[in-house]
Amino acid sequence: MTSGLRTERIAVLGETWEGWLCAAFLARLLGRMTQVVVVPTPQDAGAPPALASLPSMRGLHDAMGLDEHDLARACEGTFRLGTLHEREAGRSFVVPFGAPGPSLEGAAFHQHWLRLKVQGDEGGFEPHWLGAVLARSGRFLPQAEVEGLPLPEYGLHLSGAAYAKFMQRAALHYGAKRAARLAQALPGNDDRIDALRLEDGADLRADLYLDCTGTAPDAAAGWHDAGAAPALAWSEDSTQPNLSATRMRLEEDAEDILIPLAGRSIRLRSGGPGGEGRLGWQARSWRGNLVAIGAAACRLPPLEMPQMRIAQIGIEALRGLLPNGADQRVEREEFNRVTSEAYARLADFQRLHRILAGRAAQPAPDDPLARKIEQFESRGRVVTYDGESFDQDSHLAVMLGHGLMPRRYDPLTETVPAGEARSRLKQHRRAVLRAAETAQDQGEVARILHAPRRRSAGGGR
Amino acid sequence: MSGMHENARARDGVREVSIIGGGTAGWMTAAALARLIAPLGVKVRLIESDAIGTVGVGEATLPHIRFFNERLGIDEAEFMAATQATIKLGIEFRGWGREGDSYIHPFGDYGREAGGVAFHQLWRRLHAEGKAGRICDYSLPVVMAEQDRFAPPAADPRSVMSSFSYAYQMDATLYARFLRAFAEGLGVERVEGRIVDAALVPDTDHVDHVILEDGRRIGGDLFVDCSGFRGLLIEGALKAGYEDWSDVLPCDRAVAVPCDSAGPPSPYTRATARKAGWQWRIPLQHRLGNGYVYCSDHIGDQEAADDLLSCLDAAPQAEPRFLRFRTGRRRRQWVGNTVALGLSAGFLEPLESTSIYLIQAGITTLVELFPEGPVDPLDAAEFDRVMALEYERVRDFLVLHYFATERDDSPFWDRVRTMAIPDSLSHKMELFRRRGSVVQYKDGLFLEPSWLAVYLGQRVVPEGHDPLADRMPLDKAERYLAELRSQIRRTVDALPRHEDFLKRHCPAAAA
Repeated sequence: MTSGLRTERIAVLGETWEGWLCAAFLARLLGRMTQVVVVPTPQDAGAPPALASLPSMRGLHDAMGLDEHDLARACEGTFRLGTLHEREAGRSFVVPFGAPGPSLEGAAFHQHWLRLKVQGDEGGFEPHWLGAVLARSGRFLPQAEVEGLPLPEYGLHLSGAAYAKFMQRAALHYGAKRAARLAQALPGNDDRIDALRLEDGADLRADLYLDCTGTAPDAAAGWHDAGAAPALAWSEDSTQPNLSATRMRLEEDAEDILIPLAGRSIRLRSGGPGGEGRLGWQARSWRGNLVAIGAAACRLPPLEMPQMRIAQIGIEALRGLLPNGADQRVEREEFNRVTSEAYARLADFQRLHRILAGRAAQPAPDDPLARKIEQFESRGRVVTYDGESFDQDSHLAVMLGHGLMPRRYDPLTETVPAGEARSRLKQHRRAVLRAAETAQDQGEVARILHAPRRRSAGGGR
Repeated sequence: MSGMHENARARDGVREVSIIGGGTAGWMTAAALARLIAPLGVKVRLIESDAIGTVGVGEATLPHIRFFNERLGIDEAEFMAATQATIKLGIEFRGWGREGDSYIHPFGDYGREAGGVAFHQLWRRLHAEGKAGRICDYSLPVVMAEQDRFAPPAADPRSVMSSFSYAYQMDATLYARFLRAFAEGLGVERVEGRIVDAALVPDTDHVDHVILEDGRRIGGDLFVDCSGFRGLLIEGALKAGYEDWSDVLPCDRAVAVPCDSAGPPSPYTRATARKAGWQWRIPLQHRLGNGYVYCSDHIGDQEAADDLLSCLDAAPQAEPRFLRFRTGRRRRQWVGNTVALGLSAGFLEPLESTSIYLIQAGITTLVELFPEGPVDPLDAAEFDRVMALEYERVRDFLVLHYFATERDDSPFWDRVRTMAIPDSLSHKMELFRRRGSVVQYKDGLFLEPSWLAVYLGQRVVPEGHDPLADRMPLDKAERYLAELRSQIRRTVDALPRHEDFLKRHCPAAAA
């Protein structure tokens, strides 16, 4: 077998933001080798008013040749430096992206802080973390050249509708087509789709079908159930407290989230009965020749805004496993192994928040989360597994943020004399402060980014 | 803050560590604890008997050892001279896929990713059409090894000289001796004596003290069991249990013999498949290390020794030494206040030079979880989790070497070729066979290039490739590969010979 690809056509079910994202990505990636066709369906979920990405999403956008500044410009975007979690009694903490500082003498940076902290003479951790300081103060430092500090990373806040439209334009530009609406999927043998009957009467056959409708089948076989979905209430909000952070408030039975876009904010209240369907994920999101991606594969509560990450998990797994023939069994099994592991870790990260906030049951001893909590509580050691969406630093921020104080610190920190450690942390905080001062206010960044562009002398196109 | 924090309280906890057994594991542990933990006011002692020989495992190492030495503050040239060390760029496997086959598993990459597609996928596409050379031709360390050349890697990621790493081939007994001097220099107490018994704190799984032949009792707050296969404390006293993996790794004996060098030392280890196992050949500055790892179901000790002696490069320097082992892992590697490191923690044959690495991984994890206070069972459980994953992932990689074969020339090879393998391996192989994709994981020793080396070197040929490799026009891809290959050749041609590098950098005293 010399020529690998016999995938002549991929049909994307769902004219949704996820559908267009997949179509744009695949059309760009595969070029003329494969035709990508988007098929609208009656189940298509509408775009959420706002989306938020993690820094790792940039890799996907880069692969499509899309610059994130252009994306932000086109989608009322702001740069997301982290999430600001507001807790009771005016307390709050930030889960930023990127690392706080370098390790010293074989001990993690935070361990040195912890050592001084348990000895009782050190303030909070946040002032040591440039990403957190920027996120809290509404600033942005796109190309940081900062003395000895790790570069802050960032994701995006985007208008869902604008993002869908942007991806649609990109997909069509890269050669994807849009077909007539789906009337009916015609089943074949072995869980496979034989063809799609469209409303114009034509039958569309593809080698691979992607379910990007955004609608998960209710408790299908292999569905890992995570409870009833909460009701979601979106609204527009003119308050703009901070453009650099998603604001998240965990209330008794609800999450109140504020996503800052350029010029307006989107509020999402999530909680209470009346939600549609179930939360959870498909252990086998690739069945037969149909691959579910995005909300069709996994639905989680909006805590930390996981929707884009969920789509990203599916797309990246598919990218590494694009089938090269009719027999897709091996690819399917690996895809299902990788994605269900990633969905589980993502759900665990949310559950970690809830457990630490006292809103979910403590994990059983054999629960992978138990190890994370025990190890951190015991000695500030951060445990992560294969398939994590959030790295060790994010875990650190969540655990410290919720007030989980390790009982002791890494003894290796003591190889640095206490006085020296103190002055190094002080220097580090100063460097953070200086860097934060040179950073721009994101309101200013947004004004420039979203300023109406001057037309050229010829009067424009 | 309620008075004293736990780190301070802990000072009343582990104040003394007793390491049971010298040898590579014992002295590596002693050196690391002396450097990292002793400054915190912890006393480190090591009990060993000159009467008990050490196994001297792992004369060939993995690149990780450089970071171990670096962290301890050991000077490379000094260390290399003291241990008769040579450079190791990889392992040559002879006769594994089929008799007569040969490939090198290098410490480095194959080619460079182009246009978002893994290099080997591009290579596979061209190779299938007869338009590419061996995958080895696109690996700098392989070509360096084949031509016996070496210079240290470059830091600049744009340079092709940054595409590899290296390790050492060394005399493990000398390494233990070197580390002993280092550790004793940092205040480690060495107790000479043979341990005959251990006493537990009644009704617990905590070791209170060990008893020496002459009646002395030696205590400790933490014990590190480096006593070798028998696991004096971890098994003898604490009955941790052993998970036997001989169903997938049936070799259970080895015979070792050093011989004279027959030429300049090559910068790679050789593992040659034999009728009932495999033979190692490790070139040091002053001699060659040789051994035959075999399965006693299929060959007798005498025959194995004769076999080994019949294919040495030069005259043997000693009588052959026999070793027995059982492949597997201690079910719990940390019980109570005892941590097992080295052969007492488990045994995986030295096919991929993992013995010293596994000791090192154990030490790193122990240091991370170092119990200053009363030993926390949760830390023991975490240690077991981390180490179990290490051992299992190495196991799967080793099993691949035996299973991916077409050899049917002996009962041994019939056995391993047809054995049932762990699911965790079969799904990896299936994915590679199907499309040349390597399963990725976060925690684990062997990464994509290693899996590629063994798959491709042992005829696990992908049926197809990643369709993304078809995007680059054929002629462009061909030019890309040709340019890479000639760049590697040019680079290697300009490097010093390995023996010259050794002479300049770290000449050892004549043995």
